[in-house]
Amino acid sequence: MFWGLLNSPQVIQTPVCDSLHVLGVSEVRIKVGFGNALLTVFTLGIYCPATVYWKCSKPCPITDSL
Amino acid sequence: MKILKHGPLTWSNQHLNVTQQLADYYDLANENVGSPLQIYNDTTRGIQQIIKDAIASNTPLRALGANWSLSPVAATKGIILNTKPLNICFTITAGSISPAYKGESRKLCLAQCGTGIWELNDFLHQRGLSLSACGASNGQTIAGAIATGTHGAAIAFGATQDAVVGLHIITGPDTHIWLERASYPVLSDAFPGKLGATLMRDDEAFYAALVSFGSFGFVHGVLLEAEDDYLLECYMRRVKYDQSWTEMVTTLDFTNPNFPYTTEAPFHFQTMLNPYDLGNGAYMTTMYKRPYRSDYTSPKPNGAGVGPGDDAAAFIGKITDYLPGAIPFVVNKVLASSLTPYEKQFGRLAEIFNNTTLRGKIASAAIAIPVSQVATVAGALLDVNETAGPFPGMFAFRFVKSSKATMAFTHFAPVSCVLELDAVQSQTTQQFYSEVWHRLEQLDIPFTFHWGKMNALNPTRMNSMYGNNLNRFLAARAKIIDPAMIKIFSNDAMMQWGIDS
Ligand SMILES: Cc1cc2nc3c(=O)[nH]c(=O)nc-3n(C[C@H](O)[C@H](O)[C@H](O)COP(=O)(O)OP(=O)(O)OC[C@H]3O[C@@H](n4cnc5c(N)ncnc54)[C@H](O)[C@@H]3O)c2cc1C
Repeated sequence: MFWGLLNSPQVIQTPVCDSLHVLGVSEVRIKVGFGNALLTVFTLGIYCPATVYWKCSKPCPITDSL
Repeated sequence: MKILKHGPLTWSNQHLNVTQQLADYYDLANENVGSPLQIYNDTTRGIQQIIKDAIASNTPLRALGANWSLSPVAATKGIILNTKPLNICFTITAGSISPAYKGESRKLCLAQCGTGIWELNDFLHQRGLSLSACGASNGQTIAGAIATGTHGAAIAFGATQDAVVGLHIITGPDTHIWLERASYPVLSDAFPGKLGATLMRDDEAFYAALVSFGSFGFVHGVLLEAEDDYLLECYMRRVKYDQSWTEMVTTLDFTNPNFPYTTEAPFHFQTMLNPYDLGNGAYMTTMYKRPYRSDYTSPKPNGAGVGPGDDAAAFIGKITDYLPGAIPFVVNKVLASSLTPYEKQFGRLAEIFNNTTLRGKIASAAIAIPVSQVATVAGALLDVNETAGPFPGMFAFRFVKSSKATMAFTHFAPVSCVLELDAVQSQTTQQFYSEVWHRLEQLDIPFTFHWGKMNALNPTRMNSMYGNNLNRFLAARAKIIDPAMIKIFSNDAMMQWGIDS
């Protein structure tokens, strides 16, 4: 019922992808370590920390004729 | 060119079986202003600058494709260059081809090194074309795939590199070449000028560079000869594991009644053995080439999510490292749901071999052997499984036309059989691999390791596997690549294999 109550929706910032002109991510993984899992259980899910990993997608392919 | 430097970090390959501390990891990306040719040429200059700096600071470099190799070919103590964002594709106009070229310019495509096989598939399909061959999965980059000799089971065509007809290679901080065969010129004499590259037409150098595991300079562009789109008509059957299987795999006699067509050689041929269920026979996959048409039903994965072109890597990760006694039961369970026979499924090459992601933590080793030895090797595997097993996986045999690339591991002519041993990553698997290599050496069966999979290469094995081809490779590389460049593009694997200089 309380799951994630304190985790307001997060916007994932991807400065790495942006600086490569890659406007998007191709994979997002959410990892909850043992410590974080314990915290979640002890707070009855009110505080539910996790680490977010992502991979930049590939740039839109550029094509041309030579 | 955009370079994003991440600083020192611990790098691992996608399968997490190779880990190395790096001095730095650079993401390379094209600029987004200018014409595609200007952008491509700007990237050539950017890479040359990186090389210049690396030589000055004596820092090793290694280009990285999709990071799928299970051998340490892409590792370095120095800087890894992530090439995946380098994905420009050019078509070639009639005005750019050599008058001596007999093919059609519309079938040529110059792909920048980081272009994924799946991206190439899309690019080509939009133009009514297809690659002639690829691996079972499609997540590799084009430069990464050819670097290790990535293959499927194209028995009459060969491996991915066999569709390559030109290479744009950065050979030093101030040099780069457009390399083609003298015996098969493709682009006009003026074309390399567009890239600012020096034209070199030389069969010996071309075949040496084709499969060169990241040690033949920086491959910036790959010219591929595609073909008109086609469909594959696919079958997977179970056939008796008996004398008729032995004859089928050692003679490649396609008139055998086990084949769906007895008057036609398949495009793709592979067979698999589950060592714990031989009584129910071997698996046999065949695919026949058909003209393209749009009114077919696309191939569907079975209930376990395994499609017609998937190899064992797609499902073997479901077998976890159980107690030895449970392995036969678990392998049987996983295979029973993953390998369900099918008849007459149709799909384009790109649809059949469409696995872009990795599933589970697997070990994968592959060796090429002469076709005549397949049944003997199968017997040896079953034997080793009794003493060093139980192997938590299965034995797959894929048949592929031999490649002319000097260091192609699929060099047994006219057709090489690639034995694939995909399994769970475990001590038993490693022990099983070592025992198999020893047994084959004891039996005097020639074999070569896949460059991108787990292997036990050393200078002695390199010499016995490649003999004079190894000398030819080293001589061609020394002729073309700047010595300082050879040095910085070397890594521990090259040293261990005895090909660092
Ligand atoms: C799930 C899975 C399925 C597979 N299926 C098959 C299969 O069906 N058939 C098969 O034969 N193999 C298969 N493999 C092995 C795989 O195809 C090869 O290891 C391939 O080389 C990986 O390509 P990559 O783009 O990931 O290259 P990487 O692994 O990143 O690099 C491979 C080599 O290419 C070099 N390289 C990359 N880019 C450049 C460049 N621009 N210039 C110079 N050198 C460069 C690297 O330095 C390295 O030496 C599979 C692997 C996995 C993980």
